[in-house]
Amino acid sequence: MSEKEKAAESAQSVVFADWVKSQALAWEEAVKRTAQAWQAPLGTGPAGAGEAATQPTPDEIGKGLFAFLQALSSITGAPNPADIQAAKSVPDMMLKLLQPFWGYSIKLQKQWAEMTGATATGEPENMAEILKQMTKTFYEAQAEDFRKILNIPQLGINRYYQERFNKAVEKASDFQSALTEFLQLLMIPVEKAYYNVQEEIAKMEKEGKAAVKDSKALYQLWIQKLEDHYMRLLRSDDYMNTLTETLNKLHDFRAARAEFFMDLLQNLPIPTNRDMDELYRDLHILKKRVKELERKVKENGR
Amino acid sequence: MEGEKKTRLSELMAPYVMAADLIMARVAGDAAKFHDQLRKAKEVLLGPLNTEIAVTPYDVVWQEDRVKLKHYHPRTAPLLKTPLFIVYAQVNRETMLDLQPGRSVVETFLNAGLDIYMLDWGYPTRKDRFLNLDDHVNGYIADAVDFILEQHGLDQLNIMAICQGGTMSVMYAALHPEKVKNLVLTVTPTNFDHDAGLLNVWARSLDPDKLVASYGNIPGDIMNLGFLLLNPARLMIDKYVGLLENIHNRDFVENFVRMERWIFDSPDLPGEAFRDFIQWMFRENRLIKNELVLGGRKVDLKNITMPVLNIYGKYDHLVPPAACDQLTSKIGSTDKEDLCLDTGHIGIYVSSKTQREFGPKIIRWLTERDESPEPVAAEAKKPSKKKKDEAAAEEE
Repeated sequence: MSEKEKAAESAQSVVFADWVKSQALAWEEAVKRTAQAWQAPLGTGPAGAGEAATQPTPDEIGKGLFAFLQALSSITGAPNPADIQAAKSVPDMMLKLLQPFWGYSIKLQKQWAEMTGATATGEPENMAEILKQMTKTFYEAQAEDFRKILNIPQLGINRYYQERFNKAVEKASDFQSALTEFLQLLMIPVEKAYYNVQEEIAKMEKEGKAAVKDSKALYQLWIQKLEDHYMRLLRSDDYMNTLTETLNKLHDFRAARAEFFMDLLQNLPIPTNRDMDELYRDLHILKKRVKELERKVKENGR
Repeated sequence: MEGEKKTRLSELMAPYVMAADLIMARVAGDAAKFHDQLRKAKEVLLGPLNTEIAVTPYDVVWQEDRVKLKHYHPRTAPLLKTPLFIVYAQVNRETMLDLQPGRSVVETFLNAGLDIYMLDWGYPTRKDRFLNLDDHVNGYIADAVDFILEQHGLDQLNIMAICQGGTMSVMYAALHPEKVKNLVLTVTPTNFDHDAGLLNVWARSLDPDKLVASYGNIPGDIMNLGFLLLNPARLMIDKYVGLLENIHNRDFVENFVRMERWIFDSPDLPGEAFRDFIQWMFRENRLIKNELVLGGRKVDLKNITMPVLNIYGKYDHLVPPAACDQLTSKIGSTDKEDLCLDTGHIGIYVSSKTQREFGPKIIRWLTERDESPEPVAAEAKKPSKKKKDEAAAEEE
């Protein structure tokens, strides 16, 4: 190995050592921040993590994510965002955009923690009620923040395509919210039937009657109660409104999705539903006219 | 903390755990019996099962677009001069009338000597989304009737119709009374202004415009889901618990699977026809109010002057008596009869009890109203072999 080659190798090893060090630090920071962010709301972090002062704010969580992204960009060889002075405003913007997400994810985690008994706050009556609350939180998150992000005016030659994509995402999210609420409603009779059966058994024991011990009789009691509760639910205004809302959201989602797919299909040799529907409508009208003409010819021939 | 968490979660999950426990306990029974049943169930499920439906032979004698006309092979000399044209609903399929030998309305009629034609609505595709109610009543039904009349050289035929097929047949009979000799309606909704059935309540709250815009044709699976949600406890849980309890019984399993095959064989509904039906029937109740106009002509119930037999089920949760029992007071006919049977929407056609009552009653009623000096069989004017082959190929 020549002196020149040795010098080059030495320089490479120094650069490599620096690179390894920077990656290690970046990963360490990213892992630390994200772990802190996710563990704190569940109350399973380090000692004292339950105190309000050590709870990370959505902003801090966002910074953790940003550090993680920095590490990733370094590993993939992309320029480190923090090294580019001109791009310093980008992380801030990203943090602001992501802030609602972290905020609501913390709220959802807290609700889950309440459900599993990890925290003492909040005493939801049953699973259906908890799901209802979580759905509500999720829906509020969409309505208040994500919707605004998705509706940021688009610019440039691709603006209409981007708008249609954003709309499909927005409507998919709306439909998921409505569907979850609808399914949650369908869970209520199962829980009510359970409590009714418990009450019936307790009542029998109190009255000195033998409680239902035969599993078949118990099943019959339960299925009857379940049916009764479903019958009441299915006729309720709450159910009707939720069903209607779910169907409306489904329609909106399907329509938005169809618009988005039409953009894709237009670039392929595949006719869209709109193309085919126009053809089918023409065919339908033509067939009716031919039939009517045939009828008239037949009548005149008599 | 962990202990608390488990307690809380297990408390919350208790209703669902209990449901699973009860179902399993119900199915399992005592251990020895359960073991024996499992062994038999294995034999049943892994062995050959006869779950075919609609096995009575027929020819497809006419076809327009997707709609076909089945003509069943007569088994005896014709009992009546007038053939019977059966119009089923577009929801589910007409195979229900011929579910299996021994539980087949078609078989009962053929054994008595009726000459039967049955409309098969087929499976609508997106091409059919613009077909409206008028296209079905004054188009397909009218054309099939004309074909049968031409085949027999007759001016009139008997119509028996089922559910929504009955509603459309009422419209047809009011618009073309000269072609209908007798009209038999079974579980036919004609009055939609009531809250007796959940279907009615839900259908009124539907926005048909949105559904049609979204789907084109209304998927059969959406309809099926709606029907299952009419009684989730029985139709989504108890029914299958019943199957598991009887899983070792070959006859039970075969009958169960046949019914499942029928229930979930659900063609889509043509979009425009669905829109018309929901809007004009469920939302505006135009038919019974004599306000319906089809193809530019008013559907006047007073034009229904032929004899009418109106059969419905006392325990029908889809088409309750309130949906059926007003028609006979609105029509022009003087020979009319309402018959309410102690059964439900499907039981009227497949239960052993109603099989003994339902089919024979219709045969008797039609016979009493048939002038039958010289029966004219369709045999004389059978379709050409080419036409039959084309229809058979299409069927495949």
